[in-house]
Parts: sequence; structure tokens; C-alpha cells
Amino acid sequence: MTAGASELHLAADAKRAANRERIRRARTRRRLTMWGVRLASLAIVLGVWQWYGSSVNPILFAPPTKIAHAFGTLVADGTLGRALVQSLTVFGIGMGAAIVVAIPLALVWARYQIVDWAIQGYVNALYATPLVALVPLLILWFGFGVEAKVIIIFSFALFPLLINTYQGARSVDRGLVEVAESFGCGELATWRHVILPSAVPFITAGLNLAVGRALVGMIIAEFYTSASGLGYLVISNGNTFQTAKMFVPILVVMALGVFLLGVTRTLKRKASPWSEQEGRL
Amino acid sequence: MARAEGAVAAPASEPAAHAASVECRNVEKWFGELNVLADVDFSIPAGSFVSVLGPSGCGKTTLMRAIGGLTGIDAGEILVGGRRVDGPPREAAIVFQQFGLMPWKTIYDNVAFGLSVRGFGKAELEERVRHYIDLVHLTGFEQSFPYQVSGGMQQRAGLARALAVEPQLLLMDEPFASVDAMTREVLHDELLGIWERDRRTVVFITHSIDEAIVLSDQIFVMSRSPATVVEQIPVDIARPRRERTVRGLPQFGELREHCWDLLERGGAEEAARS
Repeated sequence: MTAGASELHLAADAKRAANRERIRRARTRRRLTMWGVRLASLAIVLGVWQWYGSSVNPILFAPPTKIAHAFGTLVADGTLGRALVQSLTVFGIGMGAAIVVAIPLALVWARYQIVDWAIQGYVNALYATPLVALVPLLILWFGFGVEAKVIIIFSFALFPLLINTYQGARSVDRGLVEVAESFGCGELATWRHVILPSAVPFITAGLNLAVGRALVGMIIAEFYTSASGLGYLVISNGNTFQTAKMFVPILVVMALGVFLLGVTRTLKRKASPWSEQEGRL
Repeated sequence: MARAEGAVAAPASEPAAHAASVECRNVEKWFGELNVLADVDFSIPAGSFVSVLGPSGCGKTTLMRAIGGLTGIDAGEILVGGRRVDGPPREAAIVFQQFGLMPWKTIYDNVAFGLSVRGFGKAELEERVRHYIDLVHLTGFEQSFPYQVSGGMQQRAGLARALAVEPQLLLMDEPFASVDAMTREVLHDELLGIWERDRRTVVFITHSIDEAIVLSDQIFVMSRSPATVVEQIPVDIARPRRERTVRGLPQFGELREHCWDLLERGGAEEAARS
């Protein structure tokens, strides 16, 4: 290689390095701008809230500072912690039971035409029903205790899981079922290698929906049944016009929802990385 | 490696314990009122590479699916290794046009699929999977998912998966139709190299005249529906072959013209000239 050629190489390398540096800087700038806008937006919202919340009747609204103070009080006397544990307990049991029941039931439903004919109508009708309408009936049957709360949450979470899992098992690629068959898979092996894995993205999407609905079910159950949980904390503080305290459980439920939906979205991405790439297949 | 299952009716010239013969006797297939296969009748000796050439949509894929036991036939019979086909024969493995890889399995697990279904032990399975991944040049991509590699590499995995069960009959359904032309040529040469070493029976479905000539011992030309075999053309080109050298031979042009005439007479003017 001549001296001239190697100099050209060096120049090209330097140019590439400069380009990389430029792209990196542009990316950093973009990220800084994004966070700047977010923080500014938050400051404006909180500022307006503070100003408006302080200027109206405290029964109707509460400014962030008062809510923060109420939050401190409720944490200190253990009320919030207790309510959170109560809520999460019934939520966990109801949601867990829905998963354990819905997934196997949906697979049987998808596998046997007879089951499909027998139950499809009811499942679709119940999925379409606003389940809130059934809550008084469920209370009538199961009372005001933990049991009723769990059953309400369970019934809210069940249907999205059931229907998504069913559709996942039904929408399996016929071509892949044939591949399995051609390599000598029997029924069970086909389910294990093809149908179940291909239903995973549907199941995790159902989980995402179910979590949202189960949270609604949880709050409603706590409104109507015995005194416990975050929902009760909202109702009881509302009834006694302690508006700042009422905001605390609302904000906690909001944070809980954001967190749980984030978890299921992450689960969806991790459990079926291929489904994010469907367009490229 | 030579498994002794199924008495193979091998011709005297081929000691082919690891290859199965294929026979179709007056095979007929109907889709409702539509006669797809009419009186398909041929026999493929064990260890022979046969291409089934026909225009798109003529029923050649249906024929392959029938041999592979994925679809039933309405009259006649199909024998693989002397045994009547009724469901996918153990002797056969299929390479699919759209690759048919499980998107949730890694390349390694896809290649291992047939072996794990057949209950191979861990050690032997691992050894075979490594061997066939190496054979199709996928070493280093074992832990990739299909969507992370190119179409050509996906079909290499599809080929390795079929080869890994060491089938006596390899059924290939337009396996290179969905990869780009340059990759296809490379894959032709690799397939030739692999096949010339162990000479399993191959039934290769294609609509490409060139591909059929380059690869096969015999070309079965099919007519448009109802499809039947119009002519069985022997390809007398010495092996080992490579695509570029075959294309340079005078026989190549003659065979090409001959196939083309047959296809045109079969009313298949629009058959791909690829």
C-alpha cells in the first residue's frame, strides 16, 4: 500500500468517527429536549392545579401541597398501607384465579368444536355485558366479605383472558400445524410445539386488558362491599368531605395501574419477541 | 446411519438402504368438482433426484402433499419405500416453500425439531443438530431467531431440519422460490454438494426449468389441470455438477427448449421463465 492510500484511509476513518460523534450528540440533544418538555409540562400542570386548588372551596378540590400533606398523614397512621395491602390481596387472588381458570378453559374451548358451539354465545354475551350491572347480584350471592370482592375481580378479569386465549389458539398458522404433522407430531406435541407458543402473544395481550378491567372491578367491589381497601378509602373520605385525603388513594390507584400495565407490556415483549417483528416475517 | 426399516425396492445399480423409492399408481385427486390430479402414474427409484416441473397452480404441490401424507387422494395409491402412504410417512421429510420455521424457536431448536419429536436422546440430538447446522453453513446463528436472519438463511435452517432426521425421502416444495436469485444459485450448489454425497431420494417441486435441469436426474413435466405427468425426461449430465458449469453445456440449452415446448403444449404459456 502506498503512503497516499493509507492517508486516504486515515482521512476516511476520521470522517466516520466525526459522523458518529455528530449522530451521538444529536441523539443526546433530542433526549435532553424531551425531558425538558416533560418537566416543564409537569411544572405547569402542578402550578395551575396549586393555584386553582387553593382558590376554590376545599370541599370541592385540593391543591397538591395539601394532598402531599394528607399522603404523609395516611402513611404515618398506617391507613394507606393497610388499605393497599387489602386491595392488592383481593386483586392478586382474583386475578390469579382468572388466569388459572381462563387459560385452560379457553384451550379446551378452542380444541373441541362441541364446547365451542355450547359456550361461545354465553361468553360473548357476558363479555359484552357491562359487568358493573352484575355487581349487586354478586353481592347478594356472596355477601360483603373478601369472597365477594375476589369474585367480582375474577369476573372482570376472566373474559378478556378467555377470549384472547381462545382467539390465539384458533388463529394458529395452519402451515405450521402441517409442518409439525409432517415431522410426526401427534395432537399433544402439536399443541406443545405450535399452538400454545403461537397463542402466547394473544394471552399476554389478554393479560394486559384483564389487569385494567380487574382494577376497575377492585375499586367497584370496595365501593359496594365491606370497609376495606383503597376504594373504601376513596368513598369514606369523600363522604366526610376530606377531599385532600380522598385524592391520595385515587393517585395511588393511578400509579398502581400505570405500574401493572407496564409490567404486562414488558411481559408481552419478553415472552414473544418474535411477535414484535411480525412485519418482517 | 443406515436404518433398516422398510424394505426398500432399490434398483440393482443403487445400494440405497438410506433411500426410499416412490411409486404413484393411477393417482387421482378432486377438490369438489375440480379434478386436480388425473391418472398420475410413475415410479421413482431409490436414490434418485426427480424434479416435478409444471406451471404455477397446476397441482404439483398437491402431488407433493399427497406423497408426504398431508392430504389424501381419491383414487389410486402412493407407495413410499414399498409401503402405502396413509399419513406422513416416517421415511419422508419436507422442505417447505415458506420455510415453515417456528418463529418462537431459535435456529438451533428449529433444526432440532424433528429429532426431538422423534424422541432422540440429548447427546445424539446435539451431535446431529451441530452437524447439519454446520453442513448448511449456519454455525454461529444457533441462538438467533428466524426473524433475525435472511430468507436464504431461514431456508438453510429448513433444509437442515429436514436433513437432520436423515430421511430416506426428501420432499422439497419450491424451496428456493422465495429467496433472491443470487442466494438461490448458491443454495443450488450447496444442495448438489449435499445430495451427491449421500443420494437420498428427492422429489423437488419447481416451476423453474433451469432449476430442474441443474439439479435433477429426471424431470417429470406436468400439464395444466387436471395435472398429469406428460413426459419423464432423463437429464444425462455427469455429476458432480455445479450450476455455472451445467448452464454452459450444450445439453442444457437443448433440455431447456424441450421442456419449454412441452409446457407450451400443455397450455402453460405463462409458466415462469425464471
